[in-house]
Amino acid sequence: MQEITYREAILAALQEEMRRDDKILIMGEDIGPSGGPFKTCQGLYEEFGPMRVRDTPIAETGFVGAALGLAITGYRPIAEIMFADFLGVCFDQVVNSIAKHRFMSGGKVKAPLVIRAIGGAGLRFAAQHSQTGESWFLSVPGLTIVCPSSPNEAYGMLRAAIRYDNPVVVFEHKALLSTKGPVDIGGPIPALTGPAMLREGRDATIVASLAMVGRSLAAAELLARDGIAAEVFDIRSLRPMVTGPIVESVKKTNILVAVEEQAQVGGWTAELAAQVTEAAFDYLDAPPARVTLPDHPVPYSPPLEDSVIPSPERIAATVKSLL
Amino acid sequence: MKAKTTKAARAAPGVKPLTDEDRLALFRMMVRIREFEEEVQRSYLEGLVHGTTHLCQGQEAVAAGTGLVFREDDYVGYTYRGHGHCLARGMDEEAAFAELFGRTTGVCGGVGGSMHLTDIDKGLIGAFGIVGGGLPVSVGAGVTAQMNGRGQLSAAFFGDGATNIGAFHESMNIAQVWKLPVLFICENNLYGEFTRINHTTPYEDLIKRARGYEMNAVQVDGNDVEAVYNATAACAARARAGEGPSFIECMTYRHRGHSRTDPAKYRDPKEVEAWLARDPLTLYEAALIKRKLLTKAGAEALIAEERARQRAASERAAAGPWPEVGAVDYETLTFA
Amino acid sequence: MDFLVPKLSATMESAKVLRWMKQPGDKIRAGEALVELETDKAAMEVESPVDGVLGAIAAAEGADVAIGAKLADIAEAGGASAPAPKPAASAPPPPKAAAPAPAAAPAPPKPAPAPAPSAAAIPPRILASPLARRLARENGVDLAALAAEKSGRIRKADVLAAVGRAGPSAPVPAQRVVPAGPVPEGVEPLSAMRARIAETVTVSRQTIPAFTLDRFVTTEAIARAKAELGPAIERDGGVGLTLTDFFLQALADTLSHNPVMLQRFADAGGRPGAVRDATVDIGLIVAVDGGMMIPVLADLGGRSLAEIGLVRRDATQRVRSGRLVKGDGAPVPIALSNLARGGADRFEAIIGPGQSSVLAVGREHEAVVPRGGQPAVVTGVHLTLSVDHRLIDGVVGATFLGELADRIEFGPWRLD
Repeated sequence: MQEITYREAILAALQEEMRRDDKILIMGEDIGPSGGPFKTCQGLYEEFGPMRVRDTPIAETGFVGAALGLAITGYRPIAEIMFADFLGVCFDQVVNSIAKHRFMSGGKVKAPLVIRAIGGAGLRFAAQHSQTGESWFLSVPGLTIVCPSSPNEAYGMLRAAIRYDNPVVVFEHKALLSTKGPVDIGGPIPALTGPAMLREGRDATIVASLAMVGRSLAAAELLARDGIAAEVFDIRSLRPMVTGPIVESVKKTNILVAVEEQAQVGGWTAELAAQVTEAAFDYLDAPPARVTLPDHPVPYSPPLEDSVIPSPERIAATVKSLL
Repeated sequence: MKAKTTKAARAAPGVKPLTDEDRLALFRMMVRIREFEEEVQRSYLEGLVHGTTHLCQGQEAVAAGTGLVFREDDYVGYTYRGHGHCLARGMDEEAAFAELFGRTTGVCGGVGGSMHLTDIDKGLIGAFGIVGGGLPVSVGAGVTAQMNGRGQLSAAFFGDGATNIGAFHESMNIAQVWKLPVLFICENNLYGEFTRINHTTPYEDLIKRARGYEMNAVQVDGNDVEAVYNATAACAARARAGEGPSFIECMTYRHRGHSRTDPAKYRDPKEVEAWLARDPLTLYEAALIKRKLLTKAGAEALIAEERARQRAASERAAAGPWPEVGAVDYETLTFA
Repeated sequence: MDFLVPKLSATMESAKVLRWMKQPGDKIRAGEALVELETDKAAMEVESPVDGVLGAIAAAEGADVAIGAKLADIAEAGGASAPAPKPAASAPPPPKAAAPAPAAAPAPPKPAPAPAPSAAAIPPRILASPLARRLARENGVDLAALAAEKSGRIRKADVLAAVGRAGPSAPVPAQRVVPAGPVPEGVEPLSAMRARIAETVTVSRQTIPAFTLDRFVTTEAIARAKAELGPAIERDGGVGLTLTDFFLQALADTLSHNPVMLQRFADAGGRPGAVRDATVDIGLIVAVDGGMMIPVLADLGGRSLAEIGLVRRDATQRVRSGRLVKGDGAPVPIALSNLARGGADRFEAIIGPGQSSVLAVGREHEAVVPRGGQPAVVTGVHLTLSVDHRLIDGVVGATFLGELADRIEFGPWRLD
């Protein structure tokens, strides 16, 4: 295990995979000699050259669509989207072409590509540069959507995504880039999908994604002081959303609280609540609760931005209100 | 509007000149495409083709002329008006009909339909229903061609309307900046769906767009199949030699409406008549007869032969099995 | 040949003949427009499929025609073989796709107020969480009774309190819903009731230091009293007396006389303590399908046989139909397990958590006992009394058992 940052973990995964398979290439804005605006590609250009590390013009539709063209003709491209918000620009390519091309061809083409989108709030980038985007593609079959919440997940999930033969959108979080954690460098490739239980408990089940995972663990600590033992899950993948272990947890605790950094309506927490209610109806002692961003864009001013992001206190209070 | 061919488009040096066999092959391919589209039309009226379909009668010279240039390992991307390009590349007609009819014997198993004919083994990377949507994908195939380093190229077909959408501009720009071996082949038939080009675009000569990207560009009479061939071959040679992308504007016209449900009443009858008089098949037949490569009777026989061939293929396709609801493996269709 | 109406669009079902461009007798060529039809989409021209001469018109201008209907006759030109019309397209087995809905009007900025349902339309409902409902169902708790005394939603804690067998300070096994893991082959998980019984008896054996006292009593006096008093009580009191009723009265009276037996062990802030009940409440162990339940017979001290019979019958019926009441969860000092009609001569019952004793009644049978120095054959049962030694010592237990035996063997039985 090595103690490295989320950013370093991403870079480690990219380096390893690109060394292992020369069909892997990466495209994105400023990722060449500059190493990427978030330094997630530092040194790749020097090691692999301009054919495999391509600085693109500011043209998401262009290079994300190009990723599909590369993928169906034998390569394994990675497209870095500087801010997840910019997925709005290439939404058509992702939703209408990348997600569907294999299907429309009758299963004849294969599209092994990865889109890495760095998003999230907390760094005062204001409304158009602070969305996680994680729930935007929830209703698009054909895509695999994953959310690494820690350096170890960032490392493992990216390796798994690159090796997967189908399109994967990896939502990374910019506020996590500098956080450190133990990373199993060179360890086995983890499952790409499915939740992980990070803390065992018996009084409530908390499920979260990305930066909300850390806040949920902090909330569990607060609750423990009041004798409430919360069980905390990192949902890890939103498509497919694997709910089995979460359902078993709710059967034990009878309480579900889901936390996401997006507006409530249409978020993955609503989907999770519906699935858990279907599967564990007779075990629920209270309605499933969701802790989310409010129903307006993310404001700029620091006290405002901080107030809209679910805090450990708000998560803990929600749990308590259900007990 | 007079169709013109820029100087750069006429037989360029380094281009393999056409043999007589090539010429006959070009004529036959145009006839085959015409007869295929006519057969699709008849089938549509009989309820065999579902939803809608987009036919290319009148634009056969573009498909045939370019088709002769491409190598087996080149990548070709096209639009929902792409039957001609598929045939020019050797897609099996029965499988194409079956796809339009929604049968499991279709080239995409019946799940794609007319707008999404794909056959990756023949380098047909796909047809895209979103205007301009296929261009970035063709650019990606161009990156592959560049990385593979053995002289492949990536050809992208699109219409005049697509030159107004963002995806076109991003694709042209990236291809030029990265010097990709991409041929941007614009079939300018003067109409974007139901609206004439002068209402949506500042000019009718779209070659001007390419000049904005400093891209090598040619404009040809899209109904002159040999001009199309020569222009494309010249640009292909450049691309294969690593000299970067080209924009090839083929001035042409579609005989029918935008789609099967469009009676195309929005076109000036005089314009339609003028273009119908320049039917690429009629023009080339006359040219080949003049060259003594074909007789009138021979041409008629060839046409009858192709017509019968398409009729037979569509009849075989119409006898093909329907997919069984509940027995379709959607999981494998969606995920590798 | 017949000139038919073609399908001009996916959604077309019929058309109207607008205008014939050719008249009968006119020469026509393949591809030439003959007639203009109006469809759901637009006005469209239909071309002649062949060279020839237009014959009689079957659908005049203004006529409505269906797809495949005959528009006119055509006499084909000799030589050119017209393609025979294809057989009608086979109806696809897959269901027809629904016609696309017309574009929805843009949503109004404010949602329209939903009409409020009339109060009469919504039937009254007990508010309980899904978990509470299930636990109530499994444990025979009457939700209606609970709802009567609790405002707001009934939750798990409320149901468990109703089911609880112990006082607030006794060790109650937590009502846990065991997370379902994979079940090994051949193993079947116990029902909720069975699982609860399993837990209860385990805790009892592990935490209550019990010892037993044993006594054989004759039941001939009860049999005589039953024969004498039973019919009248049945007629006037409306209940048929059973052996249990006699035991209960004897037990209740003996308890009243020996209040130390009315204690229950309890936690006095971390030290051993006791609670003494004011009334004589006895738990009656009743066998039910798949297990047993212990309804509470409350305040039996000083009751007549008829009253006891009614209380006993009501409790038994309640339990057998799964309708426990809140009082059934109240703690009792003693329970009665009557297996006089069973197959065991004697047995030792297990003290329930929160209780301090339990009386087990064995098989009613004949036995030989000494009477006045001579052997005599009598009918009777073994009583086995188990007591919590923390509160009840041997002398106390033996004294109690002796008194109880006397009452059983000699009465008197109170009728009021």
